Amino acid sequence: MERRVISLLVENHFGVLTRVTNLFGQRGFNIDTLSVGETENPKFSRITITTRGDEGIINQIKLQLAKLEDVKKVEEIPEDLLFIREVVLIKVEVNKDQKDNFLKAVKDFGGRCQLIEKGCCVVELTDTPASIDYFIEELQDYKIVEISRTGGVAMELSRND
Amino acid sequence: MKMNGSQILIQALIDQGVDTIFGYPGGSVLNIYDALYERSDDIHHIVTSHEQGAAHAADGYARSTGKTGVCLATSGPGATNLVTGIATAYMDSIPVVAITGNVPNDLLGRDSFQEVNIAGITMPITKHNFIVQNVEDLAYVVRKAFVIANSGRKGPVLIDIPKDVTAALTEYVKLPRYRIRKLPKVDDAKFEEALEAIRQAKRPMIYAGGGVISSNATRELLKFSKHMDIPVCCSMMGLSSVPYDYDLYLGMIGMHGTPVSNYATLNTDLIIAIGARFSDRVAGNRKEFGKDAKIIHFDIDASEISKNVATDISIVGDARYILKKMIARMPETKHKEWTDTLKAFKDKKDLPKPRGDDKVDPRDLALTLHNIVGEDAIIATDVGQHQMIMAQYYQFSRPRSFISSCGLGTMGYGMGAAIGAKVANPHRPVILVSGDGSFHMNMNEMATAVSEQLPIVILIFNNTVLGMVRQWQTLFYDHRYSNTSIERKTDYVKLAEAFGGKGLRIKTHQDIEPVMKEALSSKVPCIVDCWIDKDDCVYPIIPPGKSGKDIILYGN
Repeated sequence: MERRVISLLVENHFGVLTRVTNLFGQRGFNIDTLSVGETENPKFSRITITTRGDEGIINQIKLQLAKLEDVKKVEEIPEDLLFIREVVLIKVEVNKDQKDNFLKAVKDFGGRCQLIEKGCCVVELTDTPASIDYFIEELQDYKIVEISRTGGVAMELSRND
Repeated sequence: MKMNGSQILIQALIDQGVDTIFGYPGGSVLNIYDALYERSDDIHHIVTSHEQGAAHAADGYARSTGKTGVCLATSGPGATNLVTGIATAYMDSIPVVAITGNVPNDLLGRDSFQEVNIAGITMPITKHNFIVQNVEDLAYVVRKAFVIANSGRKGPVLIDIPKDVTAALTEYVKLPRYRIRKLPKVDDAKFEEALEAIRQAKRPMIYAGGGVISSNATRELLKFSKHMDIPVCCSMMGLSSVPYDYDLYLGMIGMHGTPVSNYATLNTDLIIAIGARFSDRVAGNRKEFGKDAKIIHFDIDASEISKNVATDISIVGDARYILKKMIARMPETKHKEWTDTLKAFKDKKDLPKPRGDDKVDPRDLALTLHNIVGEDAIIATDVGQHQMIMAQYYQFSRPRSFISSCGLGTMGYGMGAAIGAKVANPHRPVILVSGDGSFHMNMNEMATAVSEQLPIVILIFNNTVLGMVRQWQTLFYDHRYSNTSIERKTDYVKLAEAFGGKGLRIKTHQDIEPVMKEALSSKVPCIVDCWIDKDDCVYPIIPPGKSGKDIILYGN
């Protein structure tokens, strides 16, 4: 089933995230990724959820979310207007022989490197979730120690009316 | 004028039209009870035996009146004891405002004495809940709780108030009585589509649910049905939305529904579902239900559309409004061939008749009770065989006269609910029909009924076993009666007397009428121990997960 991206505008106070995730748990809906942060208006937060399910399930997710008192707006971002980005941090161990190839790969993907000590660094990349998947795949030749991903944040590529 | 949080709470409740609260005192609500002490002329507070009883009483009060029920409990165990009652109200969309005290703000989160995160616990069983951390928010939150409980699809709301907030002082600003939120406009295109589908239908039927009652659409439903000559069946929540003796009424639909409503469901070409949710007790097999028919669904809750059964045309809105609009637009119609077929079927196959021997048949209890008290009475039930017998045989005709936990199926619901209904309707007979299993769960509320001088009649369908579970063991577990033959030694007559009530017994068919009449004339709560056969099963039954084709009409 295809990935679907749902963007929620919610009241910015404690307990709201719990209400949203509880709803998914209670009704057996999947959450692939979830990210949350304040918006241009400090009264509200934006929650971006990527999920999957058939049309009926996605409809249920949207309608059930809309019933939550703290949820002000539920929008699904259609694939053709989707602008989505994710940040990944990858801790890698790289030996001397690999160094040049490694740095090239990071550069090709537009990532950045933060050295911890000799032979060990953290790579940072901001891109689409699919590109990040691909990047991680590329790094399989090196010793990946730890991966941390934010999940997608998304916007619709259209003017707000 | 400056007031403390407790005085504000009580004043805000009064401003929202509350005159009755069911509750139980405790440490965290001492300030609130102190405020109640000085306002006892304005608010009648009923102390139950257990907070669960208070929650069910608030629910019974709400169901029987359409008003919002209010219950109050202390923190910790007081709050958790409300949980089953709140879940019961949630499943049946009943407007209840539950108020809990909590430990003071500075003790929250420290596992303090009698502390529990009741907002977290009740999140999935309330429409919304609040933790009021500032006294300045309190009056606003109380009003908002009433708005939420009554807007759209109704349901329970919980307000949790830390003890320091109940003592803190602030200026009280009176807020107006709550008003429900506006509903979204009915979709015109879909409305026209629905009209066309109804025009085209040759064998239409209406499946009415609790939404018809909660939106006060019973009159419009009857008018629509007559006008369009469309027969009506009801979910259990929908019972009493059309009079039992209405000639196009088919009876209850679903697992223990009437043979004719099942036949109609299998042969219809258009199901018009109104304020109903296609629960598994109606549509046991979601894929098979109405498979060969078109389905139109009217509901106030958009998330009910195609949740359980896929519908062809849906209209989100208030049932009363939609029905009125439909009646205005449709010419009078006849479906004579279809309604004649249903009548002929009903003459051939109906609900099982009472046995007619000297023993007490529970069906006769329902029928005789109706003959004596008629449509004036309010019938509360617990959960099990007795509940189904009442749903099948008691001839409900007046909306809000059937008070039963249909969605959650809460055994022990009835005693509290009957108290709530009687408090709200002191001049109408209120009868709790219970089973010996259910009654044992919350019979402590007998003490409340006696203290409050509420002459409720409690008919216990006493078959010495957990009848409904045992029935499933009979039908689906090869007669292996694991832990259902409870055979309590309780003497219900002595029990009633010990509580300060009256106790009677119905042992034979001949006892039914005179004993019931005696019970109904009692000035104190009266328990009637009715001896029925433990092997008497509820029929028809559509086995769980099956479709109407698999109906078992009569037992062996």
